Amino acid sequence: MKTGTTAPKATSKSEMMVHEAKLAKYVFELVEESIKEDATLVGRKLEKIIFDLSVPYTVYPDSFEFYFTELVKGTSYENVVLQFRESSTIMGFFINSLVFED
Amino acid sequence: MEIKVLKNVMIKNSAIGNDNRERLLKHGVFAINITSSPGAGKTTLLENSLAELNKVHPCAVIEGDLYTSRDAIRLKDKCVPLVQINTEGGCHLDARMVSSALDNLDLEKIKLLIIENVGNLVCPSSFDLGENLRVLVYSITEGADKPMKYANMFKSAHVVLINKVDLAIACNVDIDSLEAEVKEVNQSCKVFRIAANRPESLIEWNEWLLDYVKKFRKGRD
Repeated sequence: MKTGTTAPKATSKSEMMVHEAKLAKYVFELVEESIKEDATLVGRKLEKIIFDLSVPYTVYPDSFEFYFTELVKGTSYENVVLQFRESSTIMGFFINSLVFED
Repeated sequence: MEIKVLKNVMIKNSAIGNDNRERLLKHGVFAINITSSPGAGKTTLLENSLAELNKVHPCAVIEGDLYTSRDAIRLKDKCVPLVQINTEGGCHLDARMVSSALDNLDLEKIKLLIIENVGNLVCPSSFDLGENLRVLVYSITEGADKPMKYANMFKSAHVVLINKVDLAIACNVDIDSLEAEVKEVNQSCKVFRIAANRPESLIEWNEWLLDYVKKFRKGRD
């Protein structure tokens, strides 16, 4: 029997990590990638991320916001506003758009 | 200035899940992802079916657990390769974890990979691990009203194993009503009734799975 496979560290042993924590990391990575893909966005201040979210929820906005806020502390995204829009026409959790300072 | 992104957040996981599936397919490995609430009977199911499955298709197991190896220890006398993933508090497995686990398996030597997910009736539904078949073990001790309440889990399952049917009377659960609600949520899923601690109740499920894997392999060859 093999044991002890290295898995990505989720969080400290004292707390349960809900999937919103992982989604916060995915969003962070997707935002970074989106900015890198468009040279005109590099260095601009990101003010808001707009999400589309299917109903019933598979992601809880309050929980997501908590983990995202923790994740971006000390980064340039620290004060980014998160806006969640419910949608009955999609299935899942989407980044709709990024709003930058003019 | 607003920039449209229109990206599904789960794409980060799904991309790796697809890579896992491709990698397994390349080696002719069929993968199932077993999900359930804690204590619904995933490990008991494996304890009492692994030997039969392994006779026909060489198996390996990836065991997901928050912190312990208790389930893996229960399976160690089954003589199949086993990799433990401890999520350190994470409430589900994700595709990255499974990708790391695959590095520790000789995929040339296995034909059926069984992934036992972390016990949770919510989060695993959203995370594709690269499996070919998702199996939900649902214990009737959880009551007859959960398919609607945890619809995403039931919707995402290809197979629902209604477990502990021998306790139906004690739990005051009408299995026919429960099965009807499962079908209401997910019309296309296959349903089996089992008592995982009684190997004789697993024959139909084992045979169905073995045949399904055989067809998968035939389609590939």
